[in-house]
Amino acid sequence: MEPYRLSLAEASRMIRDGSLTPTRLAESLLNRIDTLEPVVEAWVTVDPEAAMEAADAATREAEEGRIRSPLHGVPFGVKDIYYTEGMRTTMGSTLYSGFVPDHDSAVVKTLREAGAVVLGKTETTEFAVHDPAPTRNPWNTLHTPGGSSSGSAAAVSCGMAPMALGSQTGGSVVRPASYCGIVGFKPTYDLLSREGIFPLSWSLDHVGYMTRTVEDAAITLKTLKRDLPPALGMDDTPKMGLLGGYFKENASDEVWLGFEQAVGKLWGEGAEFIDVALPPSFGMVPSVHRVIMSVEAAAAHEDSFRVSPDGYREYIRGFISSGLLVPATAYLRAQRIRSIILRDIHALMRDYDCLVCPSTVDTAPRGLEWTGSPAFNAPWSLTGLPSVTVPSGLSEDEMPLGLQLIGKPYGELDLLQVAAWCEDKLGVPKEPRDPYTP
Amino acid sequence: MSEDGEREYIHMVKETAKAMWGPEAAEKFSDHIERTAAAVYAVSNYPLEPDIEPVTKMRPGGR
Repeated sequence: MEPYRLSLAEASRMIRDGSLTPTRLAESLLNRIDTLEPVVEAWVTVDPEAAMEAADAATREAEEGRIRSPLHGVPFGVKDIYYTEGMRTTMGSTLYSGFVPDHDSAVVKTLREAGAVVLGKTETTEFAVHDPAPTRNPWNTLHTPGGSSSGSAAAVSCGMAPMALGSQTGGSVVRPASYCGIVGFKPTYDLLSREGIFPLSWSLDHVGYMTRTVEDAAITLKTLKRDLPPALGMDDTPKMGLLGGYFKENASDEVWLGFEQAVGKLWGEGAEFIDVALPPSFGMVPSVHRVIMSVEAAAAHEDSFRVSPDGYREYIRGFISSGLLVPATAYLRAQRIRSIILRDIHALMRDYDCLVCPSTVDTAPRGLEWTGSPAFNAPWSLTGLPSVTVPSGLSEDEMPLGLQLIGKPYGELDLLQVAAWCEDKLGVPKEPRDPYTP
Repeated sequence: MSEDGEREYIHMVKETAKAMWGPEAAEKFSDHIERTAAAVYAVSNYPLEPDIEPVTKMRPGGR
């Protein structure tokens, strides 16, 4: 089997037992990128020489019996808002087209120290907001892969990398992962350091990443955070709070039908689902999220926006402009309402292993102008709760659907345990997708 | 909270935008300005008790 087809866990096991070298794995992935990149356009920068140099070093260490971590010799992609030492970091903006950081972001540094290999930088919407990247969805190249972590999702989906870093302020990890039929994981707010990541909204920005399996997501998490609280453990089968209301009202018919089918399948395997009524404060999520994000984005970009407003594309320019008009009292009031939402959602979660809802409002929209709605993910960015999407099947037109699971604060390991159970029972294939163009 | 109140508030914000950036820019970004102003209006009219403090440092679960 060509190594690019391996999951992160499989590659890791083979590197450890000596049946695969990091060099061979990196070569295979770089070839895959060479072949597919003209169609998918997932990368801003690929540095084959640096990647091969790091892979060769990892190979030498492995041959000497030194395996730094389960990610030793495993290549990965980095969303182009993470600083990478000596490698161009553009934020998806012409304003930063020549910017080369002199240090790594904390997460990239941790991964390099763990022996992982940077392949390059993946496409992002401008400053991780909405103005789209050129990336195409491997499931149908006429459709968006979602955003803002567009390149990371597409690259993992079609086997250019077994893992890629993303970030989420609204729905920028879970949504593109779901649209591209892979696993997308966003841990609890601030569990992973945001140092060296270009900010969009300080109190909403999360580190996250994409893989093709839940096991890969868990391995990556344990490498990035070695002192995680232990899993409390679930019974043989999970007990999940099923979110209707807002989610049912806003989901497209095919998404809700697919969600019901997935829930039915898991129920048949023994999962317990209890209908959960959302608290009245939940209705404020979209307004509170918008007020906080627009103000924090305006503040993050204020200096640069004042000097170079024309350097910003249309969507983010309008978004920042609108944030500059929000009274300070309204921003603080939004943060006060956020306190209520947090309190109410925490109370809601007490009796379940996790909450469950569809990962997205719709399947990946056709066209590359719009990266889709974050409406089903923003609540979990606002509340800082860990969330993960697991592929749950296909729509009638063969676009991926996802199941979104939401865990308790710092309950990542328990959440991923439930996600692995769901992944196993849903049985959706995990192999890399060859891009399809109708 | 009333539809009239929301409409009036959005109108006031759009006038402010015109004064700040000129009519052309205000028109170009009117969708964003309207959506954010509507969100501000909703937030401003949500009833709060005095002891509810803002989230200043996100600590999900209080840890």
